[in-house]
Amino acid sequence: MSILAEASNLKKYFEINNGVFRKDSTFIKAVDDISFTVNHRETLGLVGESGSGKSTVARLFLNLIHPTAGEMRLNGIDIVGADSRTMKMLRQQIGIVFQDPSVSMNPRATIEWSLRRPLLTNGKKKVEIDSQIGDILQKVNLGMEVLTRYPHQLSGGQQQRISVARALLLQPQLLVLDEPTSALDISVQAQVLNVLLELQGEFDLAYLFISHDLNVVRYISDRVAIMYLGKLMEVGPVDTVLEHALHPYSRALASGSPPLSPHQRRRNRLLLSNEPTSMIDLPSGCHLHPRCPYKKGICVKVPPELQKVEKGHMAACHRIGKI
Amino acid sequence: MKGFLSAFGVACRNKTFLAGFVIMLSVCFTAVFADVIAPFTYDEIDISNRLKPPSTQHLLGTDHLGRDSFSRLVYGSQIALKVGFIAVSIQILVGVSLGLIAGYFGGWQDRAIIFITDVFWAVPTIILAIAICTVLGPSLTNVIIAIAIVSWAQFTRIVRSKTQALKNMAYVEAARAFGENDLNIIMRYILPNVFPVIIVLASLALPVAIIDTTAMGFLGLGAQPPAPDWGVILSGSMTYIREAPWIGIFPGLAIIYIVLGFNLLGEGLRDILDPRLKI
Amino acid sequence: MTDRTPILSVRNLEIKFKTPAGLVNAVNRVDFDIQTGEIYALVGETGCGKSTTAHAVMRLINSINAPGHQIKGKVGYKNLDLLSLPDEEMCNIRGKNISMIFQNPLDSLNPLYKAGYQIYEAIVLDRIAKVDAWHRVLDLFKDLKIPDPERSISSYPQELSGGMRQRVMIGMMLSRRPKLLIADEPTTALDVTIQAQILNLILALRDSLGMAVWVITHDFGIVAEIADRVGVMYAGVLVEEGDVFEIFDNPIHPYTRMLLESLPQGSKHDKRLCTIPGTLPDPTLDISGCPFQDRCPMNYEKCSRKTPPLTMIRTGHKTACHLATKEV
Repeated sequence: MSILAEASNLKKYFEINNGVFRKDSTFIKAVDDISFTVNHRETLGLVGESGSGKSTVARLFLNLIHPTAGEMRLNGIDIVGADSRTMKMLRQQIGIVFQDPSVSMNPRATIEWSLRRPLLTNGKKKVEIDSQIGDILQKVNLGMEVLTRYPHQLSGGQQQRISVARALLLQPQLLVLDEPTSALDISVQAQVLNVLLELQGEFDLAYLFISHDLNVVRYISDRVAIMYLGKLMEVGPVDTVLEHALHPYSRALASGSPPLSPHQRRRNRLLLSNEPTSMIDLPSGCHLHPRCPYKKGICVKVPPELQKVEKGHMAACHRIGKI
Repeated sequence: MKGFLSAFGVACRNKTFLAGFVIMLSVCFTAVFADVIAPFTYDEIDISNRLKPPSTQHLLGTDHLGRDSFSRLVYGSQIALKVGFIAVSIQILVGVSLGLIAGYFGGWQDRAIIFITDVFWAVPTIILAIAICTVLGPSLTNVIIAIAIVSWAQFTRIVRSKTQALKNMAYVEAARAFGENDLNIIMRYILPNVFPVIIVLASLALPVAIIDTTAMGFLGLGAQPPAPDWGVILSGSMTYIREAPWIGIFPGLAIIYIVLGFNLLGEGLRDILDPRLKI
Repeated sequence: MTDRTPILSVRNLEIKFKTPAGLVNAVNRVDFDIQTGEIYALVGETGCGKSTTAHAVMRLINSINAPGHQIKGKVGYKNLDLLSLPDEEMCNIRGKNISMIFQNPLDSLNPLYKAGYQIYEAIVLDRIAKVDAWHRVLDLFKDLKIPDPERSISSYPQELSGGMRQRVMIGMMLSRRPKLLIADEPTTALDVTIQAQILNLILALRDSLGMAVWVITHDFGIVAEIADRVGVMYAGVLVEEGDVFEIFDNPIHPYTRMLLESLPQGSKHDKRLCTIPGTLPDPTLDISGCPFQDRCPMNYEKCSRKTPPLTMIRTGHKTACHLATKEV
């Protein structure tokens, strides 16, 4: 599979200003040296809990915020240093879908307006715009009557499908989805997931699917990357990582996730102790060590690097294979 | 248009709004059709008829120069509304623009604008208005300028905080993601969503502007006699308060009426547009 | 494990709300029991009425937050009818006999008072001496496995993390040892690893205190994790009820079956997810017949004429469907 998008040593630190004269600043390392790739036509699941940095990664990829360090490339083209003309082209290649569908569209504008804007802003001709909008609505199983409505007049599922439609109008190659189904009911989630799968096949899309729900990620992803407090813990094919996780955090997530059936209740569970630490006061060495049942001396002192364990499967833990 | 009418219909279900709207309508009607409603002009002097109590010929009596109080009241509404609307419009123009810039761009623009805003916000309005009118000279135009200057800060504060909240909304991020430039985002995405807040604040700023106008008129710093500014009438009525109380009572009541009306309108609008506005 | 005396008995519960659009049927003749010491999960999607049912049982719906509402039916607790109890007596029931925890603990804890004090406040309602009460607070914090208990007691809610706040709220609600705990979406706002801890905590407390737990959720994962029995609600109606294994393995009602089929399981290569066509019926309309008829793949003629009653199909497994009772 060929690489569509990649992030190399991506860092995003947010400065918190303490003190009146801004002399003592501390940093929140929201994303701390992350590297990953998204291949053409694949779905990479990005999993993490709150504070993991996954939403920051989404915003970095869309150039909504600038990285502190590191590179991002789309089809080999550098995103970070792109001039405005290249940026304009790149923006059309990446689309985004947000978590809360009720605020994804301008509440004071009709759906038609919200769908026309991306096309108008990118210089499409009026003639093409109407037919493109009609086409894309059909693809997400919505009728033309939604065009005259306002967002609050539509259901959550409809709003989210419009969000997907808008993201696809510029015919991107990569769609970044930030918790796209977390705010939806189960049956509505199923509709949106089905639509996403159909569209992926029809338009040859790649998805960066960000979620905290492991069942959804397992269902829709080909590969998965697990983040914790700004760092990557494990990356690999989704079934391998979730069934045979190497990293204690991945195991905790996988086994701590509520089961799909009561028969799985007595499953072996790895529960992490305590709470995730604050992002200001990160632990030394491996960030997980205060909560990890397998911690040894080295874990407190040395941050683990992502090591390749087998083809396509990497984990950042000093104790791989010994636990 | 249809949407506007149906929205208006819904709005009228709110009794506060309805009451305020009716009052406002009556005042505007009076101001617009002053020439028709008022039986006399506002400066028709008739010394032989001075200080007469209300009668069929002079509905609200006459003042110390024999001018018809009712007519002066009616023409006075024109001044009140004119100053109110123009001054508040300037406040909106300046205040909203600064608020949008400060809220959206942050950084040094925000710090600079907040500094200026805080200075103007801290000074008591009447005192500043008096100072300005004293310096510029007493006239209605200068009152308008003064009121605009002392009270624009209220718009900046509210618009700035609302803008700061809105710029992080998903739909704004989506717009940036597909390439909308800053000006478009401010004008098409943020401003329409700040609009309800502005409308409410404007309807509440208007009665304050009218009271300020009246105060300035009362102090002799605004419209000059023979202009039928309610404040001027009130001020003139003080001398004759024992012999002819009606000269002062009716402008006083008129001020209460118009201020009440716009306050009700504003409160009603606030309830209708978004009960969670928290302003 | 559970004896046959229900701790809570809901009969014919009907709740209507007055809205600008008309009278809304939020809950439509719901019947169920919660047994002593069991964990009963009431599950459904948005708008099914599950949360409203719990709020009505706790008498939290009043003329201030829901003017013009109507509540009919009977809620049996011990030998009282909670719906007809005078307000002061209901206050005694709340906290002491039946407690409730909510979705967002930050909203439920008072930001102006320290966490420990808020639990202390509850404990002294039972006229416990101050010194003893504070000891109980410390013990409770330790039982709840709140890290650094002494410091947490003197912390304000905003200073605690989401998981800790939820524990404080659980502590507050269990401090007087109620017989029934109602948990309304208790882990929705929490991270997965914290959620696992909280669910474990609820199970442990159930075992040690012998209390019943009524969980309200839209998440079947939570149901699978801790429930003993399950009730499925749709459009204000209880459409199926039974033992948790029964419901997952042999669902009968078409809605339950389609809902379980729409859960993401396995991988996309195996199958597409089942979706339920259509939308919820208009709650302002009185529907004759089954509320699910317009979306049901079966939908016989009888379904639009007569509302199917909740009927026992197998031992302990009830459903409200004409097809299931072979009456079509």
